[in-house]
Amino acid sequence: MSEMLGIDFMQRALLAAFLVGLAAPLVGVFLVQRRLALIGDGMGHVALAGVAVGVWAGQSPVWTALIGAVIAAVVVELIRSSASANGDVALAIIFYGGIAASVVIIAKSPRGTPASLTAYLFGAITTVTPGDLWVFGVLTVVILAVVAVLRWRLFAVASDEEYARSAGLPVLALNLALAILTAVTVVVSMRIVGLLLISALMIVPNAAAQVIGRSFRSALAWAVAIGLVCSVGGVVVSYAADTPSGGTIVLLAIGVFLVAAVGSAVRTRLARAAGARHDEAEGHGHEHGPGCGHEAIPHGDHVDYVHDGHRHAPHGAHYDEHSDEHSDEPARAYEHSVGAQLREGGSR
Amino acid sequence: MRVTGPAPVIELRGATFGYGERAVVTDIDLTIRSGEVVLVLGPNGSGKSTIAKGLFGLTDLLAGEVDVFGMPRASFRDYPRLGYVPQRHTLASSVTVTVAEVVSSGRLSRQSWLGLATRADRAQVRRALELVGLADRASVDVGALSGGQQRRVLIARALAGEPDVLVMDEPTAGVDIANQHGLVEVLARLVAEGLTLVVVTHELAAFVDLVTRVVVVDGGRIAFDGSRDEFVATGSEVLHDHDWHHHLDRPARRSPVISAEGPLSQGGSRS
Repeated sequence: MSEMLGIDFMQRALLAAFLVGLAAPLVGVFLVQRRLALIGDGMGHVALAGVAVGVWAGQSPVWTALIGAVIAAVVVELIRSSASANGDVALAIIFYGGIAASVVIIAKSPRGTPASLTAYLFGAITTVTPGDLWVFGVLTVVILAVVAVLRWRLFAVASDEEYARSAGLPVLALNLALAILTAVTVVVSMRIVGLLLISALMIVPNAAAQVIGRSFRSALAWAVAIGLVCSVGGVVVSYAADTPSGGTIVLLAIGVFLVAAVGSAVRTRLARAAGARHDEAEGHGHEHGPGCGHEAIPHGDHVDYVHDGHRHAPHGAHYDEHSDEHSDEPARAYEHSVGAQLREGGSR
Repeated sequence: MRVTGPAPVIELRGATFGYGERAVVTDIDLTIRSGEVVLVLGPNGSGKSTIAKGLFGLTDLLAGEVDVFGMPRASFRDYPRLGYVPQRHTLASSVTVTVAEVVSSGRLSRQSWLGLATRADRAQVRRALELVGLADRASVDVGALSGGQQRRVLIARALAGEPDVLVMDEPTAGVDIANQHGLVEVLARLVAEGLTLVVVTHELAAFVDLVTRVVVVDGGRIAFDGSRDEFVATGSEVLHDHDWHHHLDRPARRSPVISAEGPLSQGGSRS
């Protein structure tokens, strides 16, 4: 371990991993909330074109990638917000155009080799330069500051855009801000995670955290913790096992997600087995069945009967009261039947 | 139309709302004054929601004028005064969100960009949740609530902004009768505190004791505008062929839908 920490490139790789692990889940949660889990992937494609231009021109590819990704972010969000019928196709053209251009430009550039492309696509721990680290540090501070200030507004827009508009929130500006945050996160992650995998570190820690967290706030804290553990841990494993860092980090994150998901499923099952909530309908002398006079409502693997405003489900020799979560449904069904009676009465 | 009275809070003059070039409601004249409880009735597709959305700039104003608190809507910036409860069927989303977190977003329009939620903000969120009877559910995942409870969360979100006028779009759709009762009680309390209420709905029954004025929208135009009593007296002619008009002659002896002696208890006696 101390040997590893003594190596310059590993120090930089671990610091870069820390920055990525912190920033990516913070931005990713809003993408998950808006069901845009794949948008970071597309921006990675366009950032790659920026990288190619940098390699071709002999410039730092981080800056050209940043420019490419931010331009893509703005264009993508404007296309999305216009809600045009061909928006989806337009996005696909931009994203594939990015990948295609990058491959062609790299092949034609004097310093370009397919090998350098692989490092950008999948991440490599030896590639973080001191200059990169400074840029990543500054960009991460910007991401943290912007998310800290805007988080509840981004949350409000993502959860109910129409309401956010009615409350005077600048919805388009906030959506553009999120798109640009995504682009910046893509660039911060390009060395360690790689441009084809970066979206995973924005999304997967949040997916795992959603299983664990009990509120938006706590789930976000969990997502950042998982992101940090996976990105820093992934770089360590990558060094020890001599594997590409991006793939290692993402596999680790998916492993955490699977453990969380299975753990949650087991916990739910155990709680159910312990008979967590079980209300037996009292004094039920009547046996429900087809044509018994009570409204029947198919419910999953059984049929409920609306009985005196309650919903009864057969369970062995007795009937269970179905819980509050369903209380709207029978009443609504009842209201419909009342409405039907009124209509019949009115038409006579 | 009343000539005198409290100051108008919403004023539409020849307003035409729609989407892009397409007009949905045409030439609407409507003045709503402080303290009124206005029911905007109409069948599905009549354009009543389009009017409500137009008040918030969510539908395009194609002609005419809209004033909010005496100011053209386009230059109105005092957003918290005009609260909105959109028509939504579920709050469940791809992320876990607690009731209190949803309601807290109702405070955003009162907070500065760099400001954090203050003690006053939290107190107002708590008060809004108490008003709708969900104080004990503050830290529950909204996705786990029933439809009626979710509707009350949306109302609490609007109330958290401390509005003077509350516009609600179909607040009772999909809400069971017991919860409709609870909802109307909450609204009655707020009206008593001075809230002006505009309810867009196709169900009159639940609000019949609360409403002071009825506006009927049909085919993109205002077909009726008058007091509750005028509506009960003449409304049935206005609404001759819509199924919801059958509620109309009930108010005097209360609607069977909301009555304690109604079909619900009859249904119970069958068992």
